Amino acid sequence: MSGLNLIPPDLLARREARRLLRFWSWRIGASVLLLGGLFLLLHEVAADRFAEVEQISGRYDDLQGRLRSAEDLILERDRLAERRAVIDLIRDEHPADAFLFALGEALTPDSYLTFLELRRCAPAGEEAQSDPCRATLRIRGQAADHGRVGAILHGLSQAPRFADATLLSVQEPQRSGADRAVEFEITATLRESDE
Amino acid sequence: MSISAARRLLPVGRPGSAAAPSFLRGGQRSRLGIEIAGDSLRIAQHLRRGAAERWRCGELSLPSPTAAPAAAGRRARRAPATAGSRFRAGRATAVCTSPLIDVFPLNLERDDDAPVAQRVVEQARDRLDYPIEEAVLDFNLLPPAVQRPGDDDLTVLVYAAPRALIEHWVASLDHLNWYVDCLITPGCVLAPRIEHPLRDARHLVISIAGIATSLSVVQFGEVLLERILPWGEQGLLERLQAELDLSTAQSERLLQQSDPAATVQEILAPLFTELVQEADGCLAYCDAYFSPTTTTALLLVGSLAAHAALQRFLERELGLPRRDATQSLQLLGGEEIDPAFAAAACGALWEPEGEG
Repeated sequence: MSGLNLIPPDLLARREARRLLRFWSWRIGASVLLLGGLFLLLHEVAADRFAEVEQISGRYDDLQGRLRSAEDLILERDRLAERRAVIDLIRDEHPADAFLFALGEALTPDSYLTFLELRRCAPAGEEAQSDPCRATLRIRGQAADHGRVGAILHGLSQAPRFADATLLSVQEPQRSGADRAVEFEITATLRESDE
Repeated sequence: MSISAARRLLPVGRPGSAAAPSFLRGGQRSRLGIEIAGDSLRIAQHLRRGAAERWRCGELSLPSPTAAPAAAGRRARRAPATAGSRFRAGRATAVCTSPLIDVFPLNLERDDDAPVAQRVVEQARDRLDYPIEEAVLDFNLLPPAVQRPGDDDLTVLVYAAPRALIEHWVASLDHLNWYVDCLITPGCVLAPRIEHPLRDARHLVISIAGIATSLSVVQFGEVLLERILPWGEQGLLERLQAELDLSTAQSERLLQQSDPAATVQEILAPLFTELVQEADGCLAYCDAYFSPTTTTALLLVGSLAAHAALQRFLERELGLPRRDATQSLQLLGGEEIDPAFAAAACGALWEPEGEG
């Protein structure tokens, strides 16, 4: 075959240079884009990891803070436990609701109380006592007549929660009229055996 | 201005050459052959997948760069790019049939010490009707076998074309993403592919393209002489339109008839006669200046290769036996190719200097 070619060599060389330029430009451009994409991807991954480390570090500091206050919590727990022990002690030794219920049972329907005093014993060990301390209940009230006062006294004497029910006083009303209620005052001790 | 001798010395790194890295050689895609005739292109590509071989052929038109406004022009220029995208090739050979390509023989004294290229340039300067600085020149040194006994001169066949035209074609094909690295005439591309039982058989090859017709005399696989007439299929169509007052489509249908009516033949006769006269002139020149031969045949390729009336007319007027183009051309395997795509197919099989 002949070597005939009507394309001038300088045009061929120029086109070849352009073609090579396009060839490499395209590949270099693609490589730059690829590297840029990879960099962004790595940046994203690294950012996620950094955030995760920050989060874990925050949690660690938080845990460290909690660990520092644990001793205070233990002290608080001990204090609350002591209070609870005292309350439980009080509730167990002098169950007020049971006493009030027993007192209510002892009262007659037409009598009512005007005064109630409960004297507790001091906690054990605070002061030495020769006789064992017994909590006492002192009540004042009004009843329709003496018979009713006697019934109340009888009720208290029969109630298992009380012992030594004593009638301290009974007074007639000073003024005359329709309201002729009798005023009374009774003391009783709380029964130890029921505690 | 450039000449082939200078081109051969130029250290141009051709990616298609064996020295280039494999990734620059355009992969395994086969070469594309593109026949250019004005704004119309005929494309052929030989495809081989395993043992299966086939030809892929197609036609498309290039938009005129000045015909449409800017936006419409851009759209029009994109359309052929889309249409041509089904032809994917690493490299392409353009086969150009244009009356602007001058082909003329020169006789150079063998004893002259000056380089052949320089002498060609000096003599070609007087043959061109435009400044030689605006021309692209190349030449073929004819083999000694075609020279008459006792003739010691060197005979070269010079091809010259305006550089602007070549650059326009190259740019147009670049726009279609076809990298054309070789641009030649139909005679040059067909010559090496013509087979004949007799080695010294001479062929008159007539290739009718869109706007021009190439006449070449071929022997020993070389072009002895080539003439490009300034009319082709388009000229025949225009003549039919003018004479019969027909539309383009009607004229095309009429021209495609293998054996048209006598009226049509009469209308086309002046052009056919001109063709015969030019062919006679070429053959007479070759008989006078080259070694005599006993066998001469006619080969008709291009648009009207199957035109029976034209075939008969040429055979009768030239007194030459016509050979079947498909059988005469040494093409690769695959289905039989349409003679209209013969030049493009030979372009697809072309191996530029430095390749193969």
